[in-house]
Amino acid sequence: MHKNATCNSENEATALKSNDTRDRLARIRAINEQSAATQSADKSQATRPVRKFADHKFRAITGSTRGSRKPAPGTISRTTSLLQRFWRREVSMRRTR
Amino acid sequence: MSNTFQPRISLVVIQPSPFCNIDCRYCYLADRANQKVIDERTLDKIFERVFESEHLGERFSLLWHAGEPLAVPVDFYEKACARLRQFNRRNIRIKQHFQTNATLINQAWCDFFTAHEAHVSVSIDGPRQIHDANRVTRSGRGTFEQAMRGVRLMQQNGMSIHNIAVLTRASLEQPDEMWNFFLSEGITNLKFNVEEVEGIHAESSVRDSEDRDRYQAFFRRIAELRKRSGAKVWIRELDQMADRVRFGSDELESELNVPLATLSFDCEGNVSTFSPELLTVRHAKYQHFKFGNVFTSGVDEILHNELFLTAHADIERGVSRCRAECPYFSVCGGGEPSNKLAENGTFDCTETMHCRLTIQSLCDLVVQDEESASVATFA
Repeated sequence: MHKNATCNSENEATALKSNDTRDRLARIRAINEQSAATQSADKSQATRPVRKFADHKFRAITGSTRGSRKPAPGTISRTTSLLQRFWRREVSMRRTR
Repeated sequence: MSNTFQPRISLVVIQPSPFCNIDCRYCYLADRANQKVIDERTLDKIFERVFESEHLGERFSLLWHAGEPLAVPVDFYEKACARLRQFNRRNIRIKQHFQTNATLINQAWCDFFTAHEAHVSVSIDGPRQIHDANRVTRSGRGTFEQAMRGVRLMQQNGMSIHNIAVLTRASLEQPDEMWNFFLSEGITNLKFNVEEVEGIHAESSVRDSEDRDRYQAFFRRIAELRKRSGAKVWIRELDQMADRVRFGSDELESELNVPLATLSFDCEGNVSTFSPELLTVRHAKYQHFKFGNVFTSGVDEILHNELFLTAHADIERGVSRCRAECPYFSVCGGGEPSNKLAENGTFDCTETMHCRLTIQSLCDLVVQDEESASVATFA
């Protein structure tokens, strides 16, 4: 396991040839479209369009589509976790009031 | 102007004061010791101008940013929120955001954020030794302790932590330490900005071709650590790039290249568009990027300002060249004007260090990952 990930022979950068980058991207997108067609039950994952505007460094939160994911168990204290759950419930209730 | 020109205000950045209570070594802002605070009259005029714009849609984000927004008392924002509601007669959906160094967060701020459902993003660069290397007070002391006190208070108040870390060469060499730190602190919404050549920050520790490899290696390792840990951590750079690789197209645009999509106001009422950093920049060719002032003109009039037209024409040319020449255009949208100007001296250009790192190397990494995944799936 690398302690530090620097550039070395074991961990060289992946460099795409510029003239085939478009092809490789097209191939990946075609696979995703195919996947979307066959997995229509999970449209939210397979056909989610990219926002018209790309996010950027001044978009700290707004671009996050997965920002509400819960942290993995054990990554935060139980107190914090309980507080977070309480707060989510509270926000949810306020929104429905 | 191009045929696709459809201005739409998406992000409004207001600088309530240029002042920052700390003095980060990589900061691009020249005026961060200036303690002037925006007055109520100017703020009212900004709101008036934004809400009267014909280019306002059904929603926008309001970001309080640059210097340190929390250096202005919480009372100011309480009044600002009340004024904002008064001006918002069309009931437009507004999300308020704060980007803060977290050193001034106290219970009063947490109460305010909670009451107004404000989104708060903090700036922690990583573990103490990495954070304190650059994020320092004016006397040169590290701010890690103060900032983490603020973060923990937010957590105790049930707020999730969104964080922006600035990546320097030193932090790029320590992905394990970075990952372990953020995970152990329960900071699970991560964004990484790279140290840039911008404004008065003329030299970055990250700049040569070797750093492209280092940058990519950093994210490869972070992705590996995330996968191994099973932790649900959002990493803007990786997850957004994965979306763009899978679903992107040449229709993608950058908010920073589209007129009026981003509006930036300083505490004098000056207004700019495109990259928010441009508001404080002076330049031999373009002069400056203050395209108007709320006391003399509406924001829509920016589109007729001569300085704007010169800048916009060059930005359009630069984006067109990106579209024609760069194979990464569909995951980028044409680069960022402030980086093009700072690195190449003009908007009418394509590649920058910023895009070689944050777009090209990340795209290469994600493409490789996607291809491996598809091989595994379809073999």
